[in-house]
Amino acid sequence: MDEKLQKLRDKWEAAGGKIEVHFDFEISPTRSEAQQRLENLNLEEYGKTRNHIEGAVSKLSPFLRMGLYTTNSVIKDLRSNDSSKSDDVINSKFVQELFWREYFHSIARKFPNLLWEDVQEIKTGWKSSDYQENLPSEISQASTGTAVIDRIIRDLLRTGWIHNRCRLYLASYVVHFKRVKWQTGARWMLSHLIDGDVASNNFSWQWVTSTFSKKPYIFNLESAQKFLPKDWDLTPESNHTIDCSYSDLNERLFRLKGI
Amino acid sequence: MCQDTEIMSKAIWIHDECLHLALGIEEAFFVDDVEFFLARGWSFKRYVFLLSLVNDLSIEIFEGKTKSVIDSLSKSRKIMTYEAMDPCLIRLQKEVSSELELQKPESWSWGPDYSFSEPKPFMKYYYKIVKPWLSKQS
Repeated sequence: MDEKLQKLRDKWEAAGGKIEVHFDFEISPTRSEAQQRLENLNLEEYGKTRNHIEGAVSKLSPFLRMGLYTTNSVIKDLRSNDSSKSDDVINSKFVQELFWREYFHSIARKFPNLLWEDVQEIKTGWKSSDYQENLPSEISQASTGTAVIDRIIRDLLRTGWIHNRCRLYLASYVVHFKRVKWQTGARWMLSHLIDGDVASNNFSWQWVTSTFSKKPYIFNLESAQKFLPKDWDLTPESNHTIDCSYSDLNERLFRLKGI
Repeated sequence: MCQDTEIMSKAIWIHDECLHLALGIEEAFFVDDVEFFLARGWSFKRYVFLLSLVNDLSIEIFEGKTKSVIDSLSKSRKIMTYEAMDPCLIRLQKEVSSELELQKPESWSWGPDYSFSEPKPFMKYYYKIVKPWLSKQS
């Protein structure tokens, strides 16, 4: 093992920290990696494919989270790369997405208590007290029996980074399928993400839960088959808990009238 | 005279939200406060990622409790850092605030900020605050 890593490991353990069995960064923790990712960013492709797991996403989030880049510096760099397309940069979906982060930060600065409290009332028909406090072990151990969820959890634990759609699926599964408090799931995911940003993470969990949105976010196998890589196990046999229509899921998961 | 110059010199505390401040600055330092990261619930891989990036940027690293390190450094230098967003970092900054010169991050002063009295949907924020600011940039 690398000497520096061993030193960190010893220090972490001496302070009472646990060591994950195995991790493997797919995003290298270097400045050159960040620069390369910014240079390679294709705004047009990003706009078209960002919702797909294999889409042309930037993976700059760890570097933004740690302040190696700011929203302003990224916009400046993108505009200086091709000044003739400056308006394309400003009007791009990528720049709009950057402002989600600024938006969540602004709310966190103005309403810090809402980072861990419901922004609005939950709209699932259940009460907040109906949701369990503890994270089920099948979530932390990636053994839910739903193949796509287990794969997402394994990727999170191994690399510390998962695509935004995977974050939404996982949050939805934890909160709505397992009826766990969003705070419990948010805290767990935050601890593993190398781009873990308390504002973006927690308000997104609230968006999924419906305490910061008009309705709860759910997904089914059809959605997973559309957005996840074809070489994942997307068969109905391995994903029976999510293999149903949205109306069936709404009926099964929530206590709502008139859906 | 020499001592006075040293007293007036500045150092920049680089915390985990403002690594860009270290770029090209020799006086930047990072505090490897393991207990602080553990208290925030960070996993080991998160900690390794951050420390590896800090190393890659050649930022000077001091090990120990943040308050002790800053107390010690502030005897000879004025310590500057950026105000944090994360509540845990904010609490830490308050703990050492008498020794710190806090500056607002660039994005707080140049850019659009949330001016509503209660949280509104993103699109309202985007079209009311961000878009007008972006159009001025084009």
